[in-house]
Amino acid sequence: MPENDQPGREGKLVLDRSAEHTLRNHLSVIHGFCDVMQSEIDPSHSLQEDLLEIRKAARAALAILNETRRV
Amino acid sequence: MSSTPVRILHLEDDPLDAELIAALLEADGLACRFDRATTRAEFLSALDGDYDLILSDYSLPTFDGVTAQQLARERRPDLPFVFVSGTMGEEVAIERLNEGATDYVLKQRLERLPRAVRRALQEAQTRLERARAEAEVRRLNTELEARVEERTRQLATANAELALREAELETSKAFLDSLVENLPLMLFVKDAQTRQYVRINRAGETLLGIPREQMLGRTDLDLFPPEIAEELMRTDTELVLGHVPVSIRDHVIATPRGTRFLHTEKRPIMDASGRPAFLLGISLDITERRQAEEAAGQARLEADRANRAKSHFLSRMSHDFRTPLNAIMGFAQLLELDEELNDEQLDNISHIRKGGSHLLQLVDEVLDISRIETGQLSLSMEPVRVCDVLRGVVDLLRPLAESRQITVSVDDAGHVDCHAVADAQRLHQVLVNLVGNAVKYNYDRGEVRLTLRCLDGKVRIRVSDTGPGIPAAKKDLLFRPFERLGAEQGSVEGTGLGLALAKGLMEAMNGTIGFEEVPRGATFWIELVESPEMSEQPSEAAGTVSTRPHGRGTVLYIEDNRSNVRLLERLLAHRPGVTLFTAVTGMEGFASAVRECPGVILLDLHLPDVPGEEILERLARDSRTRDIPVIILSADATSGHAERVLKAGARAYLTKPLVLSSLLAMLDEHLAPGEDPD
Repeated sequence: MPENDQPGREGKLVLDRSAEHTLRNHLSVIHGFCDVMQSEIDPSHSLQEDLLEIRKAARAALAILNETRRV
Repeated sequence: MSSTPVRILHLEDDPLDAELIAALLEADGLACRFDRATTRAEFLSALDGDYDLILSDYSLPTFDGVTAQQLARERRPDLPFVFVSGTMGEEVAIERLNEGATDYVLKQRLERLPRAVRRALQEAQTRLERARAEAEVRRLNTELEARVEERTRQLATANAELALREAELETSKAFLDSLVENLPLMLFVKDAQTRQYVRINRAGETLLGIPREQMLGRTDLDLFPPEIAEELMRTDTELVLGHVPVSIRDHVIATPRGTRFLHTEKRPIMDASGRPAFLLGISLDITERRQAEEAAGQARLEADRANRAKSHFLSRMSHDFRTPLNAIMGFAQLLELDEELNDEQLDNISHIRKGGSHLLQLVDEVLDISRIETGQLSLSMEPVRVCDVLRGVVDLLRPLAESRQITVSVDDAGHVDCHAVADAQRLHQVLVNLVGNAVKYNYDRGEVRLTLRCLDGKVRIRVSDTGPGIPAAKKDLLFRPFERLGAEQGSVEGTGLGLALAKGLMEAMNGTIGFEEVPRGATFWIELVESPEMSEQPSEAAGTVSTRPHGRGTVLYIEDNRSNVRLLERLLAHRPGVTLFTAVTGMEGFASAVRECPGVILLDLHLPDVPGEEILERLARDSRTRDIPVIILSADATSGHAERVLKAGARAYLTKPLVLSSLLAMLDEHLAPGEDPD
């Protein structure tokens, strides 16, 4: 998230703890299934890269969530 | 003596004596008129007559002088009574005199009679006059006493009235004083000439913090700092010269509680000659009001700032969170296309895609709720044919219902032409939510029943299910955000925002939403204003299966996010006839468009160098690129944005996360036709 923005407090009004919890749950599900699939297929398999992209995206989403919480 | 004859009642039995006596008195110059009585009866009868004197013999044959005297004294006490007798002794005579006789004359010495008569008459006259005088005195006294009494009474009345007036005056003064003293505003009166304070009320004392003893007889110059005093006195002068009220708004005054802001109204009070005698002033302490206004202004600024921050947050959530979601959804869809995956792997990927889809739904719902809260929800209110929306919703959810053998029925008989004033898309969203819940929270092989009714200018839709229903204790929590009423423990997925959002949307559309307590299952209803107008609903193009052949040609993708670029590269690997060029900045992309002249340009709007909108404008302006179809791929889902860029020349606007099949269909539509689809 860009540094000059301060959406946190107001953001929290909207992104209630319950919503945050739900978001985290879904992200961890996504992350978990990526892990499972990555461990099950050959490391050189072409799918690995796609799964890595999904994991990265899930981490990025989590970072946005954490950023919102931190401010 | 007057010439009127003396009237004499003469009790005498002897006529000679009577004649003698008359002659004697006549001879002495006394004119007399005699009435003679000789018996008691005659005497008594004559006694009421008009006489000046009674002459009485002492001894009569049938009567006597003593009795006559007694009778005369009883009946005519004013009449002189003179005995004339030849038989009366000295002792008896004295006794008679003592009993009230006026005189006595012996017949042997009748020469005394005229003198005795004269004296008796004189005495009687004197007595009469004295009696008259005394009566007059008594009358006067009585009159005087009456007058004194009357005057005293008048004075008492006057005194009582005066006392009453004084009491009234006192009451009135006390009332006015009380009014002035209890007035919650500062009230003061100054002498118009000297400008000295002559009156100040309690509120004034409290406000200024100066006891009235210290104020009365003093001027503003004695009481306040010069700059304040001069300003106050200047307005006094204005008042005295102008004879008109003066209003001083927002003037400051130093008090022990610090500087106070006052609003003062001053009025001249004129004397009989029309000149100002006093200056009346009333001051309202507006310090708190000013502070409150300032605080309100500050609060407004604060609220505006908070709203701006919230809007900003919305746009960030909309864009920033969608970017990774786009990647998740995109790559998951891509993985699903891989033909080498086994069932277990496909199942894993479906979990990933569903997770992403739920995230997207949650973000969308949070954003919608926030838009409603901040008043930024834009609606397109128009007459909507409700049964069309209902059927669209049922068609959408039927596969889900059928997977659990749930029957969905619509009862709109007689109301198929019913139109409501609504935003068709938002009404669809609300109904998807309600019908979706009715399906999700139902038993397998259950029923969902939708009823449409138009009545009294209202359109009402009921959605009933045969599920476990909602416990009465929890119905108050129904429309609260993130409240899942215990469903979070179960297997049914949900965000807990659906009903809160549905309520917000219904209210935004001037409608209502509610829950009906029924013996079995759950029943929700929504109500909208009926529209008399008919409006042609555009037929839904979505859902139609494209049979277009796969397109061929070049695609330029201007995007700085590497994951998105990679996603498209991977996607287009399934289209061998398509060549992809990519550019990570706007300017690089524009140069590439001019150089390569691609069949389609895919443009992201958030670019590191220039806004995507500017690139779109350049492409549209440049003759070398203006005919190339531009498809916007944006993570910005805020309303109005799509409309703006479409107006600026874009052919289509796709929101991230992308539905890959839609993107491929769109590319096929704009590229030159190639091979037939598989």
